[in-house]
Amino acid sequence: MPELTVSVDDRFDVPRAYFADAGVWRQELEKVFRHSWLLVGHESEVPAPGDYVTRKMGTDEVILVRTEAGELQVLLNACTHRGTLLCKADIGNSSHFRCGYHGWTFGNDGTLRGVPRGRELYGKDFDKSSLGLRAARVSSFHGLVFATFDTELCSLAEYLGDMAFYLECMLGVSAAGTDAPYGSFRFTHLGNWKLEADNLAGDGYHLRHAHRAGFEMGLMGAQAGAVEGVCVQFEHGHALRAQRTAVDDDQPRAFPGYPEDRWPEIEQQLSPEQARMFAHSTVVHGLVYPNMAFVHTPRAGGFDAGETDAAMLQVRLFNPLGVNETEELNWLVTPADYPEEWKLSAFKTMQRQHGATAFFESDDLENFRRMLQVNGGVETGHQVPANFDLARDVAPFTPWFDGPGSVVGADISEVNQRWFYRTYLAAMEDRA
Amino acid sequence: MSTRDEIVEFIHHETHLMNAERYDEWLGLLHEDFEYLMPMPVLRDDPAQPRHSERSLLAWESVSSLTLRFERILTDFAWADRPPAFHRRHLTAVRVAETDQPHRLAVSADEIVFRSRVPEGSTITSALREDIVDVSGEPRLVRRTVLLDVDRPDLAQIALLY
Repeated sequence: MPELTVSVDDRFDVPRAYFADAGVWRQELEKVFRHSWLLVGHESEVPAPGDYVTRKMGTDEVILVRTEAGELQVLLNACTHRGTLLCKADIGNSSHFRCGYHGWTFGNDGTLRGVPRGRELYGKDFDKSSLGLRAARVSSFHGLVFATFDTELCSLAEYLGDMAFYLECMLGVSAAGTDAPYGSFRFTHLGNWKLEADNLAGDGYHLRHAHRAGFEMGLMGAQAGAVEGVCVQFEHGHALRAQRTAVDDDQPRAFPGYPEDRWPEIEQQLSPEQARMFAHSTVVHGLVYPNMAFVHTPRAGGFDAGETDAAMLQVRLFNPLGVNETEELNWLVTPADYPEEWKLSAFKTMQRQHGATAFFESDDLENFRRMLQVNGGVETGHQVPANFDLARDVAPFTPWFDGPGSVVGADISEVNQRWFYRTYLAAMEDRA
Repeated sequence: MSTRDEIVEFIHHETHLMNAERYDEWLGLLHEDFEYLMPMPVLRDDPAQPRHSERSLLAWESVSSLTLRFERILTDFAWADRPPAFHRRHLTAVRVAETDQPHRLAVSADEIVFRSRVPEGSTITSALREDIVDVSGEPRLVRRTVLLDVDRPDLAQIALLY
């Protein structure tokens, strides 16, 4: 763990201005987003040469494209002449991108190919090779594509570090890899992006209150029963909360939500310690710092009779459009070779429970926008800092597995949120 | 077989029930296989290409999921619906057409939905609503597809039913 001035167990507050000040938002883009690996998509969104999707990295517009040579590239979506947005579609296939202003044309690998009347107007020594589209560093993890423009930042593998142990439990269950079979879902909502990061990093505390309707209506599945959970923190600011049904350790391992005939493959794909961590899982959620989160649940609420039992892995990305507005993208990520019927069932669970239009999710977003409503207040700003004291003195229990990261044996704690904000504040205060 | 006027009247009636939040009665107008679909709007360069995704559905509801959705509102813990939003659906140009299935009619309507709730403010959203109505007995909605006229939907625009 990096040395920071505030220990994870020290008391500290986050001033409300951090959620309400547009100046803070500009600094976040510089100090946090610019120096992090950021999720941009899933490889299956661009399967063939020329396939592209347009995305944001923070507030920068980028193109995720598969080049004619079949490689993944993330290019700044801005013409190198005047900076006009090059590619305006969400999705498409093209061997080149042509600017609508003066007609500069770039290959899908970013090289500047054509400049109208270039030799005549710029001279014969005009060096097009220096005017290609700015390309980010690109790296994939089990199908998820990350990018960064920071040339000094460590590799993605180092950045994810010990978090990979846990991510592999969900992304690595099939030898065939992963798929995002229903593409991406994009929408905007009110609320500061950090509130969602904070919530998904490890807020087990809100469940029985914010989602009480879900518990009362019997939609929470095994989460409503006897459970035990851990909160885990990792270098670079990542955090995760994992919970399972409380079982005796000599009980045969089960992977709820996965077809039973695939359990031997899961055991084979995961290390024994990963399988021990992931077995009997009721929920795993977490944050890949700063703005990617995930939620994994076995099927919780039986909406339609006779449907296939399917675990759901939702990957989320939240980009701050401003201090008060967030653009969110969601993907359902599944094992690539599971039956279509299984994927469809997982998809319905996602859209009905955790999607943009889901009634379950609506109560979280309601809380985020109601914070927005008060965070700009002058007295609130001075007198009511955000509080993160939960479960600092609760005696931890011994977790059911021996995993990497800083594993805290506590299902309900704010240790992960403290970790997220410590990492964030260190970057913002130039202590990173 | 219902007449076209009866079908138009049926569509106006079910829309009124939604506006009036008479959800139990509205559920009673759904066929047991009812599906509510909202495809993702997608920006493609070519105007000839579809403007909504064929595989990415922002909403996919059934009778049972909608029943749960309305039951939730009646609990004391539906935070996002307390206080409730103001909302009203305005329909125009309701069109009725035959389908290639017996006792099934295609009904489409242009729709404007107004919604207002603090702190989200007011939104006015336009959409094309495409329905399939079963007319083998009393009219029943079999499918509703909502095609938003919004390229970047905000949560306030998609979290309510059209």
